[in-house]
Amino acid sequence: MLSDTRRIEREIRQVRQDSSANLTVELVDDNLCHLLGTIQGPANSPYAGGTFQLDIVLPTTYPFVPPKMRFITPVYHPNVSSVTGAICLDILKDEWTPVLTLKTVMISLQSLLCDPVPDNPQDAEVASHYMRDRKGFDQTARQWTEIHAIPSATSPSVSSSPAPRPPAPQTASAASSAADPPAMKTLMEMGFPRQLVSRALQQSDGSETRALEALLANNVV
Amino acid sequence: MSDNNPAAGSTSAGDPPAAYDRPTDEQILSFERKIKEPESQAQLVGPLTSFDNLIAEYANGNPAILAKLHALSTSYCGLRATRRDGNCFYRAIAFRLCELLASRRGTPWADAVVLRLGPECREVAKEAGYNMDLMGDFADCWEDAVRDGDVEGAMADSVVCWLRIVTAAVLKKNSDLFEAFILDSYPTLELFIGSQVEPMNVEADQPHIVAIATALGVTIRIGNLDSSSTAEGAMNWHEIDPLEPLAVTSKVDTDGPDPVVELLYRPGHYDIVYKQAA
Repeated sequence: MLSDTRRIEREIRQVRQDSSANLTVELVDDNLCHLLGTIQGPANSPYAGGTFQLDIVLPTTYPFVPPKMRFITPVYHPNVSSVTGAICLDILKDEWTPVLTLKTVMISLQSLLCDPVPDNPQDAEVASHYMRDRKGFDQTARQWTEIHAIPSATSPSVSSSPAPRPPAPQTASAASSAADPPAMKTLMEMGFPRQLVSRALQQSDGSETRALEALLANNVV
Repeated sequence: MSDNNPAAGSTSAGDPPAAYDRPTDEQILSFERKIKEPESQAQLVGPLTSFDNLIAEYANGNPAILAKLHALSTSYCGLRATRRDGNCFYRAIAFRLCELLASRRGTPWADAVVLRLGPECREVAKEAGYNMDLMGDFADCWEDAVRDGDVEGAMADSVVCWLRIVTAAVLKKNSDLFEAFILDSYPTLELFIGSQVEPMNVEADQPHIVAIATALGVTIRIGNLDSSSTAEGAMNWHEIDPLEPLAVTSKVDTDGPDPVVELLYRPGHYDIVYKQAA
């Protein structure tokens, strides 16, 4: 089955024509199955001022199945995995309908940034932080936004290269910071140096358990 | 970086997963597909068969159901089984209506239905706020299938999707009427439509049936194969007429009564049934 390229082309045009929402979408390869989108962090949220990149894959049976979307830019949010960028949003799963489009989903993601749904989390630890300590959560989310989503002078050490995942060290300090993903924090608290933890998590696709295994076996490449 | 390969970078599988290490959507979907595999290979709409298989299925089951099947098989010649994928209702309607229209081509009834299911449905969908720039493709598929008597085309996902849209559009247009049935379980009609009508693979219920009968201008008769005991296994038939009757201009007696789409209902599933020729 071939993708519905006519529809996808029209959807891309729709995103580009609407200048009010500040959305962008680009082709990654020269086919219509893999796109790179961006959304702007909503004002009055810890994500304000940030530009968040989305990896968008359109399966061949699109639009009868949802697009696969995840955040490329690290986002500290209860419904987004702090490690993989996977998103928990009903319309990207059960409630997807071919009536929806790339544009409507991207706008929904903006609303999701404004209004997290912590009782249906993608990242349990971030969600519990949100529920437990709203102020602290906002601070961390804001820090993540400044480090990863605002390509300005606020953090010159990372602006020169694309933000690695998990987040690059902010300072040379070996101590974990509030801006680190929970897995990073846990492993650093065990006494492993930041650089090593970061590489271990990367080679383990973000799995804390597998990263720990690699660290203990001195197996970090 | 792949996040869907649980084996990457690890040789051990026995570790407890970390809290955030839940399966990816792809993993959940592929697991779901695996469970549903036998069903996903079933034909969307199967060949016309006798009731023998169904009777065999219930041979040791509920006697009331068995009695109904035996009674049904005296006046109905058989059924087409549809795939149990949550789209069976829409698929059954599309398939059967396409057949009926092909067999009655050129009659006042067929002309009136074609008008209703084509331009009139587009109008209702547009009024309900659907983006016809994108949804028009689905309408094209449906109208092409009807024009060509192409039952294969009528089974397509795009047709299911279009019928879902026109169902939703009729619900919106008659919101006063339908809200009474829906607001018990959903805070708004919009939310009901977003989760129970528009998404693919979600089954149809009473409000959907009334709405689609209205959208297409066709009477739908549903035989309920339930376990209630009835005299001589009489089937409980529910006949659902369009809210706005079809405008059939001139009635020609030789055409006989207007055809109806007849379905057999078991909880969560609809198959198509065929009356014996008189």
